[in-house]
Amino acid sequence: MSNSKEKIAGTYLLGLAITLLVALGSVILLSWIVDPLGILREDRGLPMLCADGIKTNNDRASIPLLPLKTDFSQAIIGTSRIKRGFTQGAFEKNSLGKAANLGISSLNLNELHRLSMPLIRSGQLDTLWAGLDFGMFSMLKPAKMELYEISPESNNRWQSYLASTLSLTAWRETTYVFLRFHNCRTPTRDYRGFIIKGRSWNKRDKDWNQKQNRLGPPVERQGRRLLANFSKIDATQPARYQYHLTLLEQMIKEASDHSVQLHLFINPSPPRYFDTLERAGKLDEYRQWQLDIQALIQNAHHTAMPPKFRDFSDWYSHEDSMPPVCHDSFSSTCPFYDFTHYRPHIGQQILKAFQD
Amino acid sequence: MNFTAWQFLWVFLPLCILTFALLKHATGRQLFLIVASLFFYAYSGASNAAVLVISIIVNYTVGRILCSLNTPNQQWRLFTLWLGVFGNLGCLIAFKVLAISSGEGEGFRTEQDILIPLALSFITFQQIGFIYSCYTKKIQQVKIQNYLFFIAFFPQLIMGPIVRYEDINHQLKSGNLKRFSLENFAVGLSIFSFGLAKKVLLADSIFIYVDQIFTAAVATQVSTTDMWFAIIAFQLQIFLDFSAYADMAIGLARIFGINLPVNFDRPLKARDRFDLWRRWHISFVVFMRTHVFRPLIRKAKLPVALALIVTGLLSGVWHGLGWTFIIWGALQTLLMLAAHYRKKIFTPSDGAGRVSIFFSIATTFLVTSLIGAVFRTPTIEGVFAVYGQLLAWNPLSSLLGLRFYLIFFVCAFVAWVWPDTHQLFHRYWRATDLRSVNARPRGFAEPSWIEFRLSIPWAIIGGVTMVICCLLLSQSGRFIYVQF
Repeated sequence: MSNSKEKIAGTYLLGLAITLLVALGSVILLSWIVDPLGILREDRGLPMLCADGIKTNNDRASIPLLPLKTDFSQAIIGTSRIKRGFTQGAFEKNSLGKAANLGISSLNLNELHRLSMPLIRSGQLDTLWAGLDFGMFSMLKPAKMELYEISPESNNRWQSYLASTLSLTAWRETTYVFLRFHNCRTPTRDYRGFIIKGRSWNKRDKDWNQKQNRLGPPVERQGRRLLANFSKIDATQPARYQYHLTLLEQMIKEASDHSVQLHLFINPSPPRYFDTLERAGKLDEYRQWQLDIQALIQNAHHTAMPPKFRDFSDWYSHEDSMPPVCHDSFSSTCPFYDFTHYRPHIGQQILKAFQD
Repeated sequence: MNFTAWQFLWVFLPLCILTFALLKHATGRQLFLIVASLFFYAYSGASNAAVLVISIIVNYTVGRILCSLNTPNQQWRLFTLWLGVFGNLGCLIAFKVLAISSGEGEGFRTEQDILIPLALSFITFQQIGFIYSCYTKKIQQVKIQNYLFFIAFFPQLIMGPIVRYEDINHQLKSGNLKRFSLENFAVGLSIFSFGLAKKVLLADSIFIYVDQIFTAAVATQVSTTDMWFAIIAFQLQIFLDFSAYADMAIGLARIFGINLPVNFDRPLKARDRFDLWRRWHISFVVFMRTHVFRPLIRKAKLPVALALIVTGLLSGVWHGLGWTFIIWGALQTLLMLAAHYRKKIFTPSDGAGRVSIFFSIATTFLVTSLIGAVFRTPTIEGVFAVYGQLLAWNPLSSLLGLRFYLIFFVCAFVAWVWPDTHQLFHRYWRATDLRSVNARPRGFAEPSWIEFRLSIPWAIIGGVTMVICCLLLSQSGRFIYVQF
């Protein structure tokens, strides 16, 4: 091969390397400015350009890092139902002190366990609330938890800089903030994990109100998606299900050993959720799951600090339990946004129910 | 290890290239690549590696015996050949039966878990091809290190292209590993990056919607237009996914100076069934033609139609023992037979107008998409549900949004308008072609409206593409064909 060919190739490779470095440098700079995971906070670059808060939609990337810089004595953990159903105000109204919302969309039991065990052991918590869902125990595809985690002991300024500007997760989420055309001035969640009732929240709520006042296409679509998801739960699930029950058992024991009061509850669901379960032939499995959770709690009664448990699934499981206007609507005065997610006033009632 | 895994891209591959470049002798480089490849495979599980090693030892021994036995021992040679073929097929079938009996489904899978030892279908064919070449004396002697390299070389180990021992052996003998060339590195890296972009940016993006519609169609109702879009999108996805792997394999091998065979040649531009199979999964089709179809005609003296039936059904079974794959193979066969008889009855005209070509391409693609629905659906009941929704008019609201249509448009652009890899890289193209010269469609490895050069503008395009792909890597799923 001639030298000239090798020289051309060498120039090309040099150009490629420089491009890679420049592109990577730009992403690092943007990560420092945007701080998509909410790690840097006041240390981020050009703070006037981006608002405070977590900017990414990827809960799995941001929420596991949240406890490292936020002080709280209570935390609530669960799926997107928790994320959307509990506000800071609900905790304040029930005089429950400093709380954090660690709700992650489509969280499964494995992830719940992985997220809550270090929290229980850390000693910073006095109460942990966990909202349980049927899907968490029998999810077909275990969702991926971000691998990048920094230990609380190494929580210093430079570590934060590394995690927020030199981690792949931060780079990727920064790219997403731009790709999804999110303005970095409209964060998704605050530093306590509660959804910010800013522009995006209002827009979403307004859209839902407009589109879902009657059971139109979006609701029908969601019903079909939910049915498809339920139908995916098949005969291969029992082993995973049993394993998830064992994880919950471990969590209960760990909380008791570390004097953390565990409040476990089964989330309320609208009648349409149960209709869909029945259509998918999974209602019996759901009822069995309720019994299994109850049995687990019964077994934990002898522990030093037994968990408190409430099953709210029957609150709105029948049409007559819903306000009359909500029979065929998910309007803003109704308890639910859609087939699964309840509104913050229901979250407030859940907290209150535990106080009573 | 997956080509789109972080461990591969940022640890394994750079270490391999660096070590390869630093080593001085071809033998050292070859041995290093064998060890690295075995590690690459063992990463998917020690038991998988054990199956691979045992299979290599057994096949190497069979090959040696066939090479050493003289022609007078023809009966023994034939016996040894069939023993080897049945041994390989038996192993493959046993694992596939085990996979079905595990109860985790027998059809197309989108989950991560692979039910048979990784790449067993590909390795089996490669080894059968090897012992057959030993039998026909195309291979006179076999060196163990060359055989190990031929089977285990990591760029082609998992999903092909299915290579011939003679081709690899020839390149090793020609001293392809003797020097590390910057041009090979630059071109190989660029081919690899474009393959990576096809996979991460396109195939994985459209997968989400295809999966959503097929899942919903099996469980409930979807709108008719959604279903039609889904079957077409699946064809685009499977082409982009599989051809991306082939590009990545060719690019990786090129970095180390090895030329792998081309596996795709603008298949979505095929004008009829025969044309399609000259362009799609070329190394597999050539294997089936050489080792199944032709022997059936020439040695077993079967009529062409019967030979086509056997070959088509075996192609289906190669993908899996599930009914959906068998039906898919049967449908392919029926269409091949129809094309065969059409050719016999109607003499093809010499020239065709643009409109005629357009309709031929569109019809071939549409029929492929319709059959593809059988391949994609995991169960027979699912197949009925999908076809029911394709044919019945369901004016439901669409589950697909603007983002899908945007991705669909880009995928279609890449499939039909953007040049294929061999055209884009035609200046530097060295991949081998297993097809005979007559079987190559026009335009193969010829310049197109846009072509790659080792220049600064292309370095910038390549660099930016690489960074974007790396940022989106975590969203990337496994390759479709890895399940086979």
